[in-house]
Amino acid sequence: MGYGTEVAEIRDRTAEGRFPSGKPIVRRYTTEIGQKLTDQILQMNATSTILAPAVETCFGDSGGPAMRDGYVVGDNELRIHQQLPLPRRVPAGRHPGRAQLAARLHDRSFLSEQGVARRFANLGTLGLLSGCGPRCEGSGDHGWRPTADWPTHADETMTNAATRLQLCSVSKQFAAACILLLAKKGHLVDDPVAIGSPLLPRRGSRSRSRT
Amino acid sequence: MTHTAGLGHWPDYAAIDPAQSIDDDDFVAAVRARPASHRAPGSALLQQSWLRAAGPCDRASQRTDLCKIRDREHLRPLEMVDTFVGNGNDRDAVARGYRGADELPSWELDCASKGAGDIWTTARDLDRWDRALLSDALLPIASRD
Repeated sequence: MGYGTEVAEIRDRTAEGRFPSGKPIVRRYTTEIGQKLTDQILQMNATSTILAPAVETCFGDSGGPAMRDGYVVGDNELRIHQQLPLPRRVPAGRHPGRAQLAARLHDRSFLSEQGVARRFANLGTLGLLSGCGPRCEGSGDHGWRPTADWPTHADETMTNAATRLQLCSVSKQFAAACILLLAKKGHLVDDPVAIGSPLLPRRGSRSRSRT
Repeated sequence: MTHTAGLGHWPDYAAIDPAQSIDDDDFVAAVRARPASHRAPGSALLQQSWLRAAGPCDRASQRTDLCKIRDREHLRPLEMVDTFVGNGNDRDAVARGYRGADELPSWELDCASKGAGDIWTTARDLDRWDRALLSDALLPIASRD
């Protein structure tokens, strides 16, 4: 997890609390203890400050892949529980105020095939596995309740395979693929990126960008 | 779009509310009003830069909206029939959010999170997407290197 993420160390901060640019891209992993596990969703703990790469589970690559043993097994989304279109409440005494990482598995069978669920139950610790996707009974209004002891809301029905969830930062994959498709079709040129966006600093650096 | 591009995240821009629609000119003005800073990765998640990817895509496709490009190039060919882009207020079978017993509205996705967080999908469709990315069905293998 943390693929393609540019990560700076805490010690690199300046006296003003800023980080230098140009840090090398590294890959990081975690053995973070899972918080909740369902058939297709693994929810892990993460810090809300997202400033401490050593203790979080997303490493700044929200929207990127979840990997295990060299394979992409799902998609990561760093979700801050106060802001999500999913019901969530951190149980009292369990990391209040923290963000939660919900990575997504695209193949539900992966859990049973790989024995991950069993390992999770036995050891209580899991690397980066994950999962997404509602797999419950019911229809209509789609709430999301990952475990039997999750708070129940009035008029709530469980999610099911037809429930559409907001992908949040995983949407960035679609935008990135869109850009690559435009490149494939020859619609992009090698212009300074600042030409394409009035928001970016004009440093004169060139990038394979677009017109 | 790197974390050190100097752009901030939502909390850095008081004039941008991710729950409210904002037009392009106001968005650019709000972002440009704040000096670029190079802070920690993670503290600048760069929603803004992903949003700005929409602009070049619009130009490259004769001002076709990024949403339409993704629909035409991604969703239809992969038969992601349960996936859509943008606000989901009037859609069926969308997950609703809660904080405690209170329902939470979704962020505004047609403008404020365009390109960065505006896709809704099911597990099955996301599976199709991931498998396409891992094959050459969507992009050349060389583009993944």
